[in-house]
Amino acid sequence: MNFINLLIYTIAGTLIASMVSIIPGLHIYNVAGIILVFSVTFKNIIPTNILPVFIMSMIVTYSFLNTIPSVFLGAPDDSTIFVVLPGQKYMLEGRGYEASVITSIGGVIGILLLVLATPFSFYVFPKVIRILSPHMFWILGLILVYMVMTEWSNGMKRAKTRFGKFFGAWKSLAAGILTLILSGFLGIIIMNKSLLHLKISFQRVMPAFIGLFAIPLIITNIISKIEIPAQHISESINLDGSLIARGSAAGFLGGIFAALFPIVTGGVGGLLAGYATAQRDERIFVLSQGVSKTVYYVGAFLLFFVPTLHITRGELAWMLTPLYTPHSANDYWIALGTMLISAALAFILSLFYSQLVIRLIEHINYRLISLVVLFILVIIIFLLTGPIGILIMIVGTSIGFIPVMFNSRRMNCIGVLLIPIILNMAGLGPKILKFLGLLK
Amino acid sequence: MKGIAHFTTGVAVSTFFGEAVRIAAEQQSFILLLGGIFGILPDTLDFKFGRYLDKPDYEIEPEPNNLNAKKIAKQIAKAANEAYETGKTTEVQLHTIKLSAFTWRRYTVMFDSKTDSVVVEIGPVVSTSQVPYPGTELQNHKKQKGKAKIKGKLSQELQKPFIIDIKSGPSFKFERKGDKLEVEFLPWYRQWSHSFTVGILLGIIAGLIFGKLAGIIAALAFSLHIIEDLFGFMGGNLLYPFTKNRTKGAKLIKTNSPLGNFLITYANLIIIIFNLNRFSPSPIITIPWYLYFLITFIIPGGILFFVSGFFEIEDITHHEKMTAKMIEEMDDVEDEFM
Amino acid sequence: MRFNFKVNLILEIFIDFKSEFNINKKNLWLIYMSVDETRCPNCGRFVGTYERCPYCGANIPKRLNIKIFRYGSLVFSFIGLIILYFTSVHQEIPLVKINEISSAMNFAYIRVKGTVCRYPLFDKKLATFTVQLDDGTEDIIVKAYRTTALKLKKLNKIPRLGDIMDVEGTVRIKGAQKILIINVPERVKIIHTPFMPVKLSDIFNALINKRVTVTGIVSDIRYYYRKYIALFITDINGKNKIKIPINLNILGRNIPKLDVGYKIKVRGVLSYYAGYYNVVPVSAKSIKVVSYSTNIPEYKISEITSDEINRIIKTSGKITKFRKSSEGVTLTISDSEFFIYVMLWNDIYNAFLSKSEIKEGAVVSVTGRVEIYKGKLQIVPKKVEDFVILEKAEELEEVEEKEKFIPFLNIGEIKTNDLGKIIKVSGKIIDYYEFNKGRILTLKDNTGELKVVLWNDILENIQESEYIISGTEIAVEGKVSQYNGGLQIVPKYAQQVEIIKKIEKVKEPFLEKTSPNSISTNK
Repeated sequence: MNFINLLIYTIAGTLIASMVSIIPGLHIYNVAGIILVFSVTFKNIIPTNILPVFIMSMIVTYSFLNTIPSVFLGAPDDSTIFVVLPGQKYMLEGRGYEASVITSIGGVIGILLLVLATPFSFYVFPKVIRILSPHMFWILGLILVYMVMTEWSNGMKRAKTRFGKFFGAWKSLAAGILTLILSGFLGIIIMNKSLLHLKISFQRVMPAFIGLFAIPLIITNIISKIEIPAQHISESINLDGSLIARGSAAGFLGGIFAALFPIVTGGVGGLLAGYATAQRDERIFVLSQGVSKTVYYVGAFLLFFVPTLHITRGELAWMLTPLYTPHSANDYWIALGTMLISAALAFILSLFYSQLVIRLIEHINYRLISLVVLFILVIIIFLLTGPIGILIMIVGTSIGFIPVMFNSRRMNCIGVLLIPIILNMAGLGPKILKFLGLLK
Repeated sequence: MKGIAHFTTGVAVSTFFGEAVRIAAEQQSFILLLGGIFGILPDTLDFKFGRYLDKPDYEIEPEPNNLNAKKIAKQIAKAANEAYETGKTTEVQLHTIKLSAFTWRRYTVMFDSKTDSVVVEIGPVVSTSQVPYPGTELQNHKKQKGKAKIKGKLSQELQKPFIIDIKSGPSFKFERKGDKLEVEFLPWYRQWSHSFTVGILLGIIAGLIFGKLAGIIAALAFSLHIIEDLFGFMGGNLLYPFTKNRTKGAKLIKTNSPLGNFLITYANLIIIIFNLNRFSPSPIITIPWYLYFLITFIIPGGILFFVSGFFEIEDITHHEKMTAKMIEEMDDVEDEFM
Repeated sequence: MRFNFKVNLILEIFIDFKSEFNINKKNLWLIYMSVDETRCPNCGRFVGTYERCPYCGANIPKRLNIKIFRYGSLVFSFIGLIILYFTSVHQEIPLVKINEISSAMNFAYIRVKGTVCRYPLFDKKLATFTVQLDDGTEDIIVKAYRTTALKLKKLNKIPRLGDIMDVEGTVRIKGAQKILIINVPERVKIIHTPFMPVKLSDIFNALINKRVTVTGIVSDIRYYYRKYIALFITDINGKNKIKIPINLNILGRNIPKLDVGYKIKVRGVLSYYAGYYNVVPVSAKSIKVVSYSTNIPEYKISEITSDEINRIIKTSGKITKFRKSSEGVTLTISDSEFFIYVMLWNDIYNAFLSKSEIKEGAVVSVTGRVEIYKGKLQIVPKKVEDFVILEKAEELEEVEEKEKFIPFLNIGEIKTNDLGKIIKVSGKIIDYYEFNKGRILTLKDNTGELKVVLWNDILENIQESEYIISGTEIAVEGKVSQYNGGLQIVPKYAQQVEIIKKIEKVKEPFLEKTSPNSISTNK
């Protein structure tokens, strides 16, 4: 493949992903999945050897730009959300643009750190993964245990009796555990039974994921009564070297942890890194989230190209394996180059799109946008997966609403993947299936 | 120490048992998970159970629309005086003042052992990250500060302000000992949950359920949590129920120290990888242990420690500034605030 | 408690509402509550999501939609999961043909049934299991890892080559490779199929991937890097050659000792590769030697024809020619009438202890496979033991000395009962013609005519052979033989041809004359 071709497809991937990334609830994995199916059918448009470049540019752009809908279009309602996250807080203070830019800066730092981590990718990570591979099941179990044990009550603990206080506090904790169990049960069903049509199996988790994570967010937007205040487009950002260093370190650790370990997502990695580094400043939090997200999404995909590693991490790499297999270090360098070019473009686009979205929400009600997005998502799910996919999506939505409504961690929904995978890795899958009657 | 540090310490200690590592790899045993669970269990027991078993005698709920530092100080003093007068312990719970989903009103309580009084100061509005919003201090100066006299002699060690801003507030236990009035911060915290005796007991239970090795791992992980906390400030009630009070910590590491937490967590991860490697049937890392730790921990840790000295971490919460100011102005809190 | 509530969802627009604010009635999306549901109406404190004030205990009215979502999420998640559960419990795992598996089916949970077409591999160290299944449409790699692999071993569900395996698992597509990962070892079914005895001549494509038992004679053995043996067997007639690939890494070194000529029985799975049907043995024990030596048919040289090609035969004759080349030694052996080539490759020739005895005049016995090379038949022995010197060349010369007296006969006196005898005649060459192996003369004396056969190697060694043409008188000593009903004399050595009287000076160039009936024969 020549340089011009690479450049054209990098730019094309960046532009397409930029338009998709600002739609709330729509995940790049879903879009990439559709594109991969499209590329199989129309090989002339996206040749197979160009696919990795195209996909890499998409994932880089998504990691930068998907902050925009979560900052500007995820309006927390005090009635539904007890504790507001820093990114949302920025938006409510009219500083959403600042949050978006800080996150994008985090993305750039994440990309640079991934480049610097290349020697580790080639020599250290393969060794670490080989050492940890036989123990992966209990390491993932540790993450699950940590998530449950470190979830603190978000209640106000004002009951008169001890039992009242205990009950009030444990309501949200119990909701968290319930979310984990229910999402885990959902995951066991969808992983071990082909409920969807076989031809769409590569997206078997999509309806559940959209239901668990995207739809509750969108519906919360729709029923929210908060009006987004006017957003100020600042010309400077208040970040110094110390903040950047601390935020980058925390974010990189979390992101690389999530990238190396299967099933662990960027959110989980960011959570662990935040705890490990005991950060307090909101700017550090926002920056680290930007770094963590980019390192997770892009890093996981980049690991696919490391010649000595031979692992597939992240949904995107798994989707690509049927069509493309990297063969040499050259593929890694091409991926790295694509990553850098795309990151530069994505950063500029993030500034542009942030301002565009600000203008948009000034004129169009964000609830209407959310309603349209909801409609689009439901149509996509129906067209791709049919009525059973809609049912799975509804179940996922119901489960995904539990943490929203009972003030527990939304991250507990990751049980949909973590629990069945841990059980299978530990060899307990068949026993559980038998117990549940799913194994005749 | 943050929970993640305790958690990884528990896992790290469990990986020292070669048998545990072997059965985890070969028989898909979750035994090493017990290290993490028991490593973080003491704090879990406290924050998810212990705190709700505590029943304070007084609960102070400042009214956000009618803030009065004097009133708060009087309520605290009332509880303290009751303990002094009756000889029975009393406990007072101070609640936070939540203004909205992400804003709180900060206030500070200090027990002044020089004048044997309690001083309260209403502070600015802060975010959930404890960062104050400038210009949100109370305008009414008279209501901003309050002072109340306490009967009995207060302990010298309490000469520091307690800042109450986000999530949940602290509680104090007043106990008369002779002529002195002892004030214990967070009386329910790190009591039975941070004792070696409970650790051994839980280890025995774990051993009975999961086997001897599991019991040892559980007890060790639990105990290491307590030992780590002894490097901090509050320590723990080490031999509950045989001991009644907490043993104070060495005050070497702050709970919220980013560098301290990171270095401990990182060290634990290095140890875990080292142990998993050496107990595997075909170790991948073959360099001697001292070289391994030199390359992976001592050198990078040293560099980090050195570099961090150049980065001054700004106290954006203004805690230190506020406490220093309060101590400085303690004597200026006139009786008019009483 | 009277609730004044407003709705901001399209579903609630039919409910009556009251408002204390200006409402844009055209915009049904934006309807605000008149009551601030985040603050206690009694004490005015912020209560957030609470429906009862934690400070004063007052009820805080919340929007209906929030209540709906709060309790609805619990209800619907349970009901939905129950529905999904019951849907999945009764759902059969679909049985899919391997060629129907496409990249869009990555992560699908399916069932596949096929024959184990490659040796299953169980790695105890890594605890992994790999096998390849072919269902007649395509093949797929089936894998199991760690606990699943160990469980398969424990449940005795490791198949053997040729077994039918019914397995369900998760599809993984990696490039062009289709992989099925087993998650539930209990669901694996192994069907052991019997071995079907089949004659080599009856092997055909429909038997591919089936378990067969074949019996044949080892016709060739090739060794590769001490890991692999390619064994070829044929039927007794040397026909229907099939290959028995033996992978020593998998079967181990406990296979029986095999040699060319052995009759063996092999139980394995039939496949087709590189132009040969292969019977892949299921184990080392499935190769059995039926007999260690077969009746190798003994042939006279004259009886060896192209029908014997690839057949192992035995013959004997005298070495009439010895030619060394870089690859070995080519011998011509003859039984006085007919000849055949014998090819001794260097490894065989050099292994011979008494190489000096392999020379013209020695009588040898040769066992080997009949092959054809550049249109000529040859026998190729495979081992030193297959080439035996029956009589040394010196012994024969002594015999010849003893039989020095050779009768000199008139041509007309030679009869059929002289066939095989060494006699001497003389006469004038009245005709001759060339053929590719030599020259046939017509010799005439007063009593009659006789054909004389001079092979090229004899002709070359005759002095003044240019005079062996019409008109020259010669005396010839040789063996009487018969060809096409006519008698002829065939000298063995150049010295047995003597020019008595040369024709006068040769004026014309030597013209080659060939018989219209000349053919390539071993005679």
